[in-house]
Amino acid sequence: MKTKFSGILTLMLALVVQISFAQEKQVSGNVSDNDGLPLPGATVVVQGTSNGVSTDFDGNFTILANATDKLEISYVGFATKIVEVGDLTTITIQLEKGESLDEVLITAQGIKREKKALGYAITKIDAEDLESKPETDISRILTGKIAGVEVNAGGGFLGTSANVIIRSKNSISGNNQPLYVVDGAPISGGRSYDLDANNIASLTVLKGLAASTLYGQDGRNGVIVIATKTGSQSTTSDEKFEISVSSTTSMLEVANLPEFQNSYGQGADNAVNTTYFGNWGAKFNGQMVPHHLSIGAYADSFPQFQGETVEYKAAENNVNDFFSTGIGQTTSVIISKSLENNSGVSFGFGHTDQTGYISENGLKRYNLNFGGRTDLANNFSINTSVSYNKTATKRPTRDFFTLLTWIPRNLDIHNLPFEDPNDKSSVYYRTTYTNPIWQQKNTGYTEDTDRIFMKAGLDYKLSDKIKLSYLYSLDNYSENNANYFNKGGADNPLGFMQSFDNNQRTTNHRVGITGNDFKLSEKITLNSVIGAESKNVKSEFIGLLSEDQVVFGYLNHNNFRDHSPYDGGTEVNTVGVYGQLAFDYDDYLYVTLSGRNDWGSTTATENNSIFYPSASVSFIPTSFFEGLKGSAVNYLKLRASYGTSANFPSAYLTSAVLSANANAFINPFTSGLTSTNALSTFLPNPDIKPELLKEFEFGTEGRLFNNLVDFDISVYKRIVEDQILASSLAASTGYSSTVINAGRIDTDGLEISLGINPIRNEGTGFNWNINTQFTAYETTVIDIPVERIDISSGVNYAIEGQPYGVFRGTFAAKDDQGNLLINAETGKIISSEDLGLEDKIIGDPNEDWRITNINTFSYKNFTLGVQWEYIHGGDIYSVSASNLLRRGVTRDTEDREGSYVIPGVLADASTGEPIVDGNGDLIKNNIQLAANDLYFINLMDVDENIVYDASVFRLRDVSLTYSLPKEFLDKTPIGSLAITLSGNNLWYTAPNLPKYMNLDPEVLGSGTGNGKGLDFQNDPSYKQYSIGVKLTF
Amino acid sequence: MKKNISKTIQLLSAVLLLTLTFSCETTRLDINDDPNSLTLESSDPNFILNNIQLTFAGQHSTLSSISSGAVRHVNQFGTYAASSGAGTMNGAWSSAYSITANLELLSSIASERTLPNHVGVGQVLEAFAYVNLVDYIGTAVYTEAVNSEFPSPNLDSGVSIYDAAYALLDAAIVNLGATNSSSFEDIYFDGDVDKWVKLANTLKLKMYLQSKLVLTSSQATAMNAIVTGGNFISTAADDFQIQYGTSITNPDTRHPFFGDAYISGAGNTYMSNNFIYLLKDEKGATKDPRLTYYLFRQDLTDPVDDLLPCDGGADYQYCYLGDGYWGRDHADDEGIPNDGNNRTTFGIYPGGGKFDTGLNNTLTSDADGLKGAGIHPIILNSFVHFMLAEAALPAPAGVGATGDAKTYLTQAITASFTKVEAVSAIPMLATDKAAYLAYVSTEYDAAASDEDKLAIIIREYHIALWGNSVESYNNYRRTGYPDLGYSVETNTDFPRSYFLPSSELNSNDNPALVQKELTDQVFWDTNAADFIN
Repeated sequence: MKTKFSGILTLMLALVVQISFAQEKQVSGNVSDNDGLPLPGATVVVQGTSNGVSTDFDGNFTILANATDKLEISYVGFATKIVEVGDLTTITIQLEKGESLDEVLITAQGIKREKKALGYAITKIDAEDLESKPETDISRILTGKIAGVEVNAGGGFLGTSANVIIRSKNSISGNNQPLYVVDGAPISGGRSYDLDANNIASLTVLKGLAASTLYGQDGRNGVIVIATKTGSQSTTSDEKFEISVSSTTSMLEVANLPEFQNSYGQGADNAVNTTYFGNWGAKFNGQMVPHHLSIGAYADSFPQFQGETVEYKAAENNVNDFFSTGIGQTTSVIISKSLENNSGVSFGFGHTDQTGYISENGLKRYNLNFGGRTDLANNFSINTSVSYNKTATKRPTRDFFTLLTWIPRNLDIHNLPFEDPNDKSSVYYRTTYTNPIWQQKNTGYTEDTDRIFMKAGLDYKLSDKIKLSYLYSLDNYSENNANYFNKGGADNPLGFMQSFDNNQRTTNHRVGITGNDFKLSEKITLNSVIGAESKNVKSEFIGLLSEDQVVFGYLNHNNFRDHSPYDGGTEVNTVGVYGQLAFDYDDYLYVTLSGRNDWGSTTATENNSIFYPSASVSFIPTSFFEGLKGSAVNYLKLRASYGTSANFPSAYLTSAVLSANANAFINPFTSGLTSTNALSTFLPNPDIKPELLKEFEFGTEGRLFNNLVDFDISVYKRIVEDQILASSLAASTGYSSTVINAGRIDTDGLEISLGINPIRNEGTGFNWNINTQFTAYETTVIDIPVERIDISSGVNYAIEGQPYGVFRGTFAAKDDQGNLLINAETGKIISSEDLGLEDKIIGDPNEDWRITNINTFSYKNFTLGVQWEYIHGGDIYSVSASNLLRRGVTRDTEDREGSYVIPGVLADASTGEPIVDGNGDLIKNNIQLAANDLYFINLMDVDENIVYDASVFRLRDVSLTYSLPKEFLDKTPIGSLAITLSGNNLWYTAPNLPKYMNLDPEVLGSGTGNGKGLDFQNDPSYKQYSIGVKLTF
Repeated sequence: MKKNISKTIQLLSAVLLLTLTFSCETTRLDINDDPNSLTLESSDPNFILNNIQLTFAGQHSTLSSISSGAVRHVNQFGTYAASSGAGTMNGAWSSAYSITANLELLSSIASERTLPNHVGVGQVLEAFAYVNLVDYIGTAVYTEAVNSEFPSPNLDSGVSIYDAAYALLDAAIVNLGATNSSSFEDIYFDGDVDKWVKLANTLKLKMYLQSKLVLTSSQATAMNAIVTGGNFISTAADDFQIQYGTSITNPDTRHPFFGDAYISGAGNTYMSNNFIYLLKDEKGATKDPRLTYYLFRQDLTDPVDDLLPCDGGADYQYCYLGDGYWGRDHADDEGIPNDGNNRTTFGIYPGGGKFDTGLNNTLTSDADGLKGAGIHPIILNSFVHFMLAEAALPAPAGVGATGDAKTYLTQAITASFTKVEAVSAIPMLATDKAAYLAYVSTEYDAAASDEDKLAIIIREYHIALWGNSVESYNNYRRTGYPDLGYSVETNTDFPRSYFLPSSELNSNDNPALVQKELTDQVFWDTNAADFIN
């Protein structure tokens, strides 16, 4: 329609012009990109006049011009070309495609700038890389796609938070998760799975501090800037289409169960004992053994099993049968309409319903999004959006897997009763442990969240160059959580139910004045921003813990006998003032100066202000040096930046408080409740001040060899000083911990993004694109005021001179020559702990480097994408390995009938002194051990022996898309139709882990906490397959 | 143009006003007072003293639990070293400093209010807490403790802490004697200051006796003065104990033994075969009348096959003692069968469980017996009589204190019987008690030496101490009795003291703090290195 209209216009214009200027001639031509594809809608203007036309669908145009005129041909995203008319009557013009010199990105605080002007790393991901995926958590979809962005799933249950680290962890004790900004406004972090991935128009990641300075302290860990299709001010990439519908159906399966041995069952020392956990009994050989429930305690409930025997044989699938295939269904509808006066309205609806690999785990999500914008008369424009989101998740308690994966090989658990027929209590071969099936059915954790996010923006154009903006945003969510355990389990025989409501409200006000396009001289242009922002984050929780269930299975607080309530809350304010001056010099040199001052509410008044500046420079040699640009070097940019940021302490650390317990005991004489007051063991620090973060970054971007290769390389050094450290204190001081400003951690990093297009064919021919992301960094603790700081779980530590988060633990004692010391009485290793030796560093969880490689093949209407990843190095501390090897359930311990001698020298187990023979020589160990003793009692007893190198190679994502050819759809109301088959996390191998354990190093860690490489028998990871359809009208 | 400007200014003002109105609550910076906690000004001296009392209770019962395996009151799984890691003392250690910190808070309030009795009670418990640290670790931070001038405090010697504790107890006695003091809540003696004075004297008595190998003559005199003075714990009414209750939650006031054996998966702790033997078989046909109060058999039938993996094992001393008494040998680290509902467990005394009638016994449940309302015996009058019996023996077996050792011993055993009967509200057969006393009396009279008499006194003390392994651990290192010895697995050396707590070593940067060894002996333990094992 547009083309036709402008055609008529051109025709009319041509007629008029024909009459007036007879000397003009008709010039016709064709505009294409550098692959030869026609560019419809490109603008052709006679320079210095209003005489202009648009190209038609095939890129053709006709215009009247004088021989002395110059034609200016431009197209969005391409470099403008100028052609002298001269004698020509037909002109063929190729515009430089993908030059993207004028690509405009959204930077901090919604400021739009050309990419070439930016002196720091920034990465944009487009909608097509995010939509129609089986994975519904936006942060998990990002895995591997951006150099310098690390995503760890944390667990395979749906609805659990992924850990996202951009560049590196900055803080030892504090939060290291990035800031999420949606349509210009900050949202509360940690719940990225609330967002509808299909409604995202684009996602931009600001990695460094120079990029994020204007966001203030919240931007210090990097910023993920999301523009939604319904809420973004700019029109979406699917501008033509007014309705888009996508639907994805997925299947989900557990990805990493161990490979179990099926030769040996319960017992010890090759003798059967079917009451044991350990699987060190005799080989399966048709023996008859007591029935697993032939237990006195079950004499009344299960008389039929008493005295019975069963065959001693493997129940091969007793673990695998706990898992089933989960189904997921995601539907998303987005309707938008562009109107006159730069106006538009949009509406989006998303629905997701997924079940996990355990049917008790699931996620349901609704998203409703409204957006509208319009220019009013009198220079005002408004834009608003409102989103409502509901996410409901449920799962068994997370410790579900601690017992499950090592149930005995001969326990036919699915064909045995799991509950008492009379009182429904748990029934298990180990009466003092809860049956995993019972736990699956009778425990749970549910979370039901209502979230409203709204923003209202009001802009006032003071002049063509100056705009005044105000933005209000509110992100309010209330989590309704419940955690329950019916009565009758062995660990919680009375049962409990805990409900807690967690409300968090983030309110943000921002005013800003933007001044654009001030020509300071012919070559210097200035863009500037000044603004102020105030943010209030208020969170409150209230909960009730009820214990002692009356009627089995009924989950209501009034069905419990004892109740204890709890409540609390925090409120934090931050006020910031910021400014930015951006100078453009002649389109090849760009200098940006920014600064922000924050005032925070969590420090004493004298420490509550911090100013932090940043500066960046971008230089385009291909524009500066005339001769440089050519087919070898298409585009080159060099950049440098220095950025700073801050981190305020969390609330309420500055003044002393009293610990109080109303219900500490019951006085035996009065029968009244005994209440207590005590000095808190936390020592407050009234002098605590914000952390200061600094970063130097250098980078280069470019395209080479006729756009065969494009690259984006960054190196950086980040220094975080005055770390706010939660420091433990010696109990003898009367306190157990405090918080101090001290310490410094440095990070050196390298990020490379490399794209190669080895096969490029015009039109619908075969195309191959290889996109590689390489990330390497090292974070080192340079200086801390104490020997070490526990970062997580008593395993990850900060120790001076060591990488961030090294493992520290017990180890097998050795003599000076490095020989293992062997207990002369038993032939076993001697734990450092038994000798009172201090723990030592036993591993480093930080990988050396990681690489992601995404291959995209397209042919005709087919596109195939394959993403694989390799992570080199990084240790894990594996409790799974400890438990599974101890219990002898995997094939790793199947070869066991021999005896073993641990190489080492004999020593006194009490003193650790090596024993010497008559000649004063050390004595080699020759004491033989059975496999049982080796694993069950001994080898796994020291932390050092459950640390493994977790290098992993993974096929992350394979997707095949078929887009229906346009000609099929011409006669239908459908604008486009694409079908995508996709697989996620399809295969991985971690060669240095115990072979048959199939541990997935990715499901480790502690959610969004700062732990790393910790395997505490989390929920295993999953793989997914999906089919998705996307339709636009 | 002018009109435009004024319109613009109007608009700007409107926007600003709007912003300020909305953002008032978002721009306040004086909101850092924690709404979730009380401030120090609102602390209540009674509540602080309650905290000190409960912290001490926690320290003592924790220490008792830690050494209960080593002294074979209950079973120890694996070696001594495996159950004495560097973190073992973390809790007991921090309890002592919590008491000191809160006593200081209490004292700061006491300077404005009349609270000498509160402070006196706190001082007695503080002294006791540090004596416990010295007895278990041999040393502690004392003079530089809980003082902001010493962020990395130094250790004091055990003997100097003992001396400081004597002085602290003297100060406590003065404070407890003040008559104008406000009343205080008291979970031990219901606010009876005279009993606190008795406790202070008894604690001194205990310390003097514990130091008998290094006792100075002036200390011996001071000790005898307490004995002759008689103002110490000597009747059941004076017993220093924690009285537990039956409340299940918020708070759970049940005895830890009950929690261990009657709820959350019954029978988690194995009884020690050594202790079962001591009660059941050591005196031949004369069974200890406390046996069925102390221990409860969940299953009267004999264990066989899978449930008794030790059967036939060459290394075992007892394996199974018969009559349904189903414990575990010391240091046995083999796999554990599914006998949680069968093994013998804690009885009605002192854990508030079930009395063993020997008829239709079944597995335990949380509705059994006293429902957890047992006691934790810290210093009972029976214990004091055992101490007096030892003290009355001539040196070196005792310290030659006033009184007759055998009389004290008989009183001690009788007091122990009475206590068990009182707590459980189930009387013993008089004939059983008499037979037992007669047996011990005969044995005592037949003992060839003071040393042999001491062995009998301490063995009987060890039996009476059931529930309090603190004093058994102290006694064993002081006297070498009762004779415990045997381990299934080759054991590591007996811990003559415990490691400095890892929490302190990890956080105290004082270079003078270096880890000690388990074989290091406390100042009052001048016995030979291989004296016990």
